[in-house]
Amino acid sequence: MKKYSKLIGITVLIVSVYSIFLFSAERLNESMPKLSLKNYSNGESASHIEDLVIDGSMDIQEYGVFEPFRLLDNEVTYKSELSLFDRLDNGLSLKTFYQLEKKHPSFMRGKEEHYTYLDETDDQIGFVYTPFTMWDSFPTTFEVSLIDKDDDEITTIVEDIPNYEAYSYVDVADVYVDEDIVYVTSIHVKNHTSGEDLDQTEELFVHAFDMTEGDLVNTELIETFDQSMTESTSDYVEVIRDEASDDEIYIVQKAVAFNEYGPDTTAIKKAYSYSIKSKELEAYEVSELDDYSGYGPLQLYDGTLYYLTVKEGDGKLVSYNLAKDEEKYYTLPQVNDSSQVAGDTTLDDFVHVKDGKLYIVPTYVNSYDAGSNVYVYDLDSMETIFVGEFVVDNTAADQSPFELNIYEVYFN
Amino acid sequence: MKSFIKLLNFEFNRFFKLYVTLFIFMFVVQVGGIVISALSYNRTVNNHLAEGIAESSVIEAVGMFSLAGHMYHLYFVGPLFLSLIGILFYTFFIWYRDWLGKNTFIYRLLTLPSSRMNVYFSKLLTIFLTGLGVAAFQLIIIFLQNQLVHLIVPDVFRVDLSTVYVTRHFSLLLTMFPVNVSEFISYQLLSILFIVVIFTAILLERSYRLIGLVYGVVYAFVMFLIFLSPTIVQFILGYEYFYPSELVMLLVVTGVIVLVSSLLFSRYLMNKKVTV
Amino acid sequence: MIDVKHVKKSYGRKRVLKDISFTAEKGEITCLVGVNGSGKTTILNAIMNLTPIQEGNILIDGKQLTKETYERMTYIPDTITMLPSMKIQDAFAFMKEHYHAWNEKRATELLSFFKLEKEEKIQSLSKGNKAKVNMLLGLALDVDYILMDEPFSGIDIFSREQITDVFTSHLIADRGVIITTHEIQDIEHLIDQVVLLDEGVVVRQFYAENVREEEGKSIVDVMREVYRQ
Repeated sequence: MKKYSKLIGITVLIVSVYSIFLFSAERLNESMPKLSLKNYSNGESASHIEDLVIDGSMDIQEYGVFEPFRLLDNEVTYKSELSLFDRLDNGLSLKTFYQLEKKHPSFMRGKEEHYTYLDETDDQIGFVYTPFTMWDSFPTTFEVSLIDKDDDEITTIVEDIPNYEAYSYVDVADVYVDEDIVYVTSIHVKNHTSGEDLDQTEELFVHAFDMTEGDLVNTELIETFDQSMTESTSDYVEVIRDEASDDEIYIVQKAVAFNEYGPDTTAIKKAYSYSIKSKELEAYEVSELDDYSGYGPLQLYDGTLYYLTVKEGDGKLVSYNLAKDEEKYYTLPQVNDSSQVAGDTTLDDFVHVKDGKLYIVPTYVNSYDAGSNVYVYDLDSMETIFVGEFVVDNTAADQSPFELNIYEVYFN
Repeated sequence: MKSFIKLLNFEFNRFFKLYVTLFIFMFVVQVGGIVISALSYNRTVNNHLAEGIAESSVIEAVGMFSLAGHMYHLYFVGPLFLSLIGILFYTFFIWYRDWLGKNTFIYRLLTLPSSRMNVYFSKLLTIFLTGLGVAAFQLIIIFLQNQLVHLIVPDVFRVDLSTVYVTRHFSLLLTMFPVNVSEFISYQLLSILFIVVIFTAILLERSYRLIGLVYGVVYAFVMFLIFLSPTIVQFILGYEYFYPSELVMLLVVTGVIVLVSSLLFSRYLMNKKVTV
Repeated sequence: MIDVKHVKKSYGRKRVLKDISFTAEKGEITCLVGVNGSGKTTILNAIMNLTPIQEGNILIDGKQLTKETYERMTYIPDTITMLPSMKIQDAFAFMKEHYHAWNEKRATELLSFFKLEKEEKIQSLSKGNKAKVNMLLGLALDVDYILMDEPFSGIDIFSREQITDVFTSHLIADRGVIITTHEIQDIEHLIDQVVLLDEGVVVRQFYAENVREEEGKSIVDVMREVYRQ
């Protein structure tokens, strides 16, 4: 035995050190701070956030811990809790895409997943994708698919993007499924360079694909936008579906202003509504509107825009009815909290509207001012119908300071 | 098996002196470095305090002392890298030392009345164990450094971190000390794969000499391509054709192919082609 | 019997062994004779499976070499096959650990015969003593066949005598020995069979006793005939 003492020694060293290490690492994983959304308002009100999805991450910088999580239906799922394969396949992806991947893996293979590429009705899912590889200079075709939810049959047609040579990029901005017609709203980008700045023309089209005929049956140019990009501003065209209507989309041109830290405020330059089926386009007067805080997607419900703004150092929620040209300001307690008004011009919270309700979710929570809340308002009365507080059970990991960063808020 | 253990023990003991030297070097430089850092931090703090500056202002000015903050210093990274490079070097030397110079020990090793693969595996496991041993020893040093910082720097000026936390601050350490068992196992399998491919290339050189050197380099490169072929295919396609889980499974498959074929090829070379 | 049949080998374009066939019997000393570069060492390496051959085959008692063969056949190359950092006793321990055929008693006998000390480190030994230790490690194995490569090259006269003494002793009796040399004089009287090599071919194979009795020639005489042509 003595002869083997060195070999035994190193083996014992390795086995014991690694056992202790892996054991404490596992225990540390188990004793991570636990996040939960504590419901202030009792009873039924919790049903208001049933579909609300909050994706973010918990950081304990001091310990190098970074843990992505998803909060859904008051249940928090940490990425590390998922099975190996779910974790690899980004199990915290959008539910519809996740289900599509599981159900139709070969159909979804290699496809880019973006919420604007998809429209789900009671019995159909429309999915539009412009195949594109890193070797191509631009996408050239629309791949339009319609999935029948009853028998899981997939009809796919591939059509050239009309006149694709003329554009440098084509982006699918909205998909609308109406029986066997799939309407694709797309933004076609033309680049012109003039001096230092890059100028773009963006053309907004609605293409109608007849899935039974297997053909592109109609292409409609809705509007052409001149987009300017400078060092401090950048124009975007955003297409928003009004879920309160059937086939109404709103088209907004906005100009994001940057400061030295990144996007700062956003000005709304133009706004239109367009009815996909009746092909009616209406323009609205928006030039007098206040700039909105931040740069995220605009919120719209029943013809009314909702966004946050900062007026004389106070945070306000603005609602603006486009058709009636009617502007209203609301002072909401969490928005009015001056500590959240960064640089006196922007507010960070996520604002979402859905089914006549307004949701406000913070983008950042830290252990020093835990108690940041999720608020739900009734849009008609603007009364609070739900308050939920982020609570972190942080006794196990030595009370170390943590941060929550929330990346995305949407509905399942 | 018995013969394998004897050879393993023999190979390990042959490396032991150099190995202990590496350990001592790591220990002296890393522990010495942190002691000097901690003492000089103390001196700075004491100078400030002597000037009548309040503790909180001192902390604001010079920051708290945290072991994790000292992981990037040359005295920490240097010895660790040197040890790892030493082991990488030994991956080659463990074979060539039996051929080179006046030493004709390879005659003995190849004419032992046991499978020549025992010789191969004893060298493989020696490299593997010494690598893991360095990692384990590094962890002990971090633990010791932590205790020393605790002794030297006063409580108020110190960020206390557990050994496990410290390892998460530094990506190289994170590979050596992964956060869970499955990651640990996959990294170890990867390192075995790496050693086996290198060994096969060395045996090619030892079998065919000058032209064998070319074969060896080409072999290692081809194995690398085979192992990474799923990612290469994906790159050529230009989009993410495989789901991440599929990619991992394919890498496991190609990894097994590379491992098994390299082992079989090594066995063939050891038994039929290697020359003294 | 070690049976070498039509063995061919080349390094690249250079053909080292063109067509080598000979047999070496147990209980006999077979001597491979040839000038440097005639392929003597390569033949021994090939018999021990220490270098691949391109054609032909080599049978040991009618069978291909396996790992078990190394318990019955050993090789004493012209340099020592132990780590220089080892003491002689470490080398003994290594041999004992790995070979069933290791005969510790005989090893100790040989050690005193060669007047060597167990505690000596191999690297600090003189060239002659290294050769003795090397020989000792082979001879102390209870094997049927011993292959020796140039056991006398570069060794002082006294060591040479000690080694030749070994050949006449019980240490060699009953074993099959293949020995290579390019200077035959010292051991001429010991040799049973001679295989003369030239440029990778066997030019003549004969029993020393036969040529002595039948032709009245010594080995050197035959060599002269063959190589002077």
